[in-house]
Amino acid sequence: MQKTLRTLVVLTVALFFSTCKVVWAINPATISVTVTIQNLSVSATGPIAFGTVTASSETVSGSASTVTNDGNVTETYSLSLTNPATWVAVQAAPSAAEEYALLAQFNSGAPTAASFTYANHALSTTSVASSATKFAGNQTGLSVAASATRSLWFRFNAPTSTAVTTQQTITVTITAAAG
Amino acid sequence: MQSTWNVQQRTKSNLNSILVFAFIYLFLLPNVWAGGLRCSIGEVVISNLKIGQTYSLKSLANLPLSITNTDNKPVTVLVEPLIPSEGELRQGASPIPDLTWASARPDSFVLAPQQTKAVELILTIPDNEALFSRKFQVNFWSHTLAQVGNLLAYGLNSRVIFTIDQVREEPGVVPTGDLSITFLPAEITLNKIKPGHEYRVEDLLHRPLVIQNTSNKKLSVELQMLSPQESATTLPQGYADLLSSGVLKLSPTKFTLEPGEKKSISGTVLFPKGKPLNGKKFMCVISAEVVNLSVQTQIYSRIYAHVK
Repeated sequence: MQKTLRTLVVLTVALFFSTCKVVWAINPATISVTVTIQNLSVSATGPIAFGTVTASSETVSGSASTVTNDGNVTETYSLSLTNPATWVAVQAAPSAAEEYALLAQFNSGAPTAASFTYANHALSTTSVASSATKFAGNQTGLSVAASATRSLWFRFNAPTSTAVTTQQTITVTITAAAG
Repeated sequence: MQSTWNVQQRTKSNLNSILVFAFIYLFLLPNVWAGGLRCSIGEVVISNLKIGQTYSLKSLANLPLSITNTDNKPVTVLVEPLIPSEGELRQGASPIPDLTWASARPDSFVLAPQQTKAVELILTIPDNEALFSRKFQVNFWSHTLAQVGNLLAYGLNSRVIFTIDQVREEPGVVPTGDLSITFLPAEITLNKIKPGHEYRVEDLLHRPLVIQNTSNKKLSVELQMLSPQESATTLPQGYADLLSSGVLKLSPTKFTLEPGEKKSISGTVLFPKGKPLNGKKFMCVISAEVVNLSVQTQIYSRIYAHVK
């Protein structure tokens, strides 16, 4: 009798848990895909010229690159650079051989060299998003409306000295993201 | 965009110092170069992916990342998944823990001027139940490469935000959807709105809202107005929910589009008199959903209204 009772209890518990499993089972939810922001686009035109510069000098580009948000949503620009083979970008005044600094500023007209600061305008190999202060002049690369343009100016701080005699290439990248 | 300076340097030595002359040549002449890069996705939000599965956005929703070279010369394009930085994260997502979760196919190619290429974005979710109900973000960086003589390059960052379901996929299920529609304009800004006056959206925009079926099959579409909280978006700073203070009406809201067909949507917006709305800014979302498919697919247009 006791054995039968024990078996009944075990069966009842087993039935309870199996029922619970059915009650608690969750069906997989439907996958949904939402394009919350459509086309991104960025373009640029315009000359950039530095002419001839000497060691330890700083030079502001003679003209701007015009950057256009030709997408259909608001965009924020991030800036980065790629070092040439033997030079290294620094985010302070170059103080050693083979070091240089390249600074960028969004400004409607030609900015003065002094208006660039290493803290806010120096480029590095890490992409940095524009903000109210980052790369800001009297324009910013933050939340640029569709169809709007920005003028991007550069300041180049040459190395104090260099052993390089071959041609160098510095690449600046502007990446647009929504927002 | 990339700009390039070619810098030739020569050194001269004297007893005490080295003088360096850096000759920076002007390659970027006015009107000589112009162009850029365009892509079809700024941000996509995917809900309820399952652990242990691999998803292609192309097969999941017929949604490739279309990349167009708007430059006037050929460019080499790379599409790379990136782990977003803290400042790039949206909607409370965490950065993907491992870049092997995301890939693009193809991930590099050459585009002729004005050429467009479709790229498959692929997500692989590890078979790990600790990932149930988590939300992640990966960015796909499409960018051109600097090449000798090619002085322009550009970058675009597309955000992919996804959540993981709290259960596994059922065996044999192959979810498919089709988001082959465009919905333009993608952003609508209505300025100088006066409370008490009903405006026709197309009058303010000087053009109608247009939805187009870009596929080769018939699609059923449903429009919905969503508050930012109901949608997969967040309110920009300084903005409030348009639908809680104003009334937005659209017509039609349910229709079928033949392949290639365009549908113009009419709309009105009204903010009632008597509320202190002056100078306030509002936002909501219009969602166009392709219905009757096993994957729910939708595309957003945002409406911003600035009350006078």
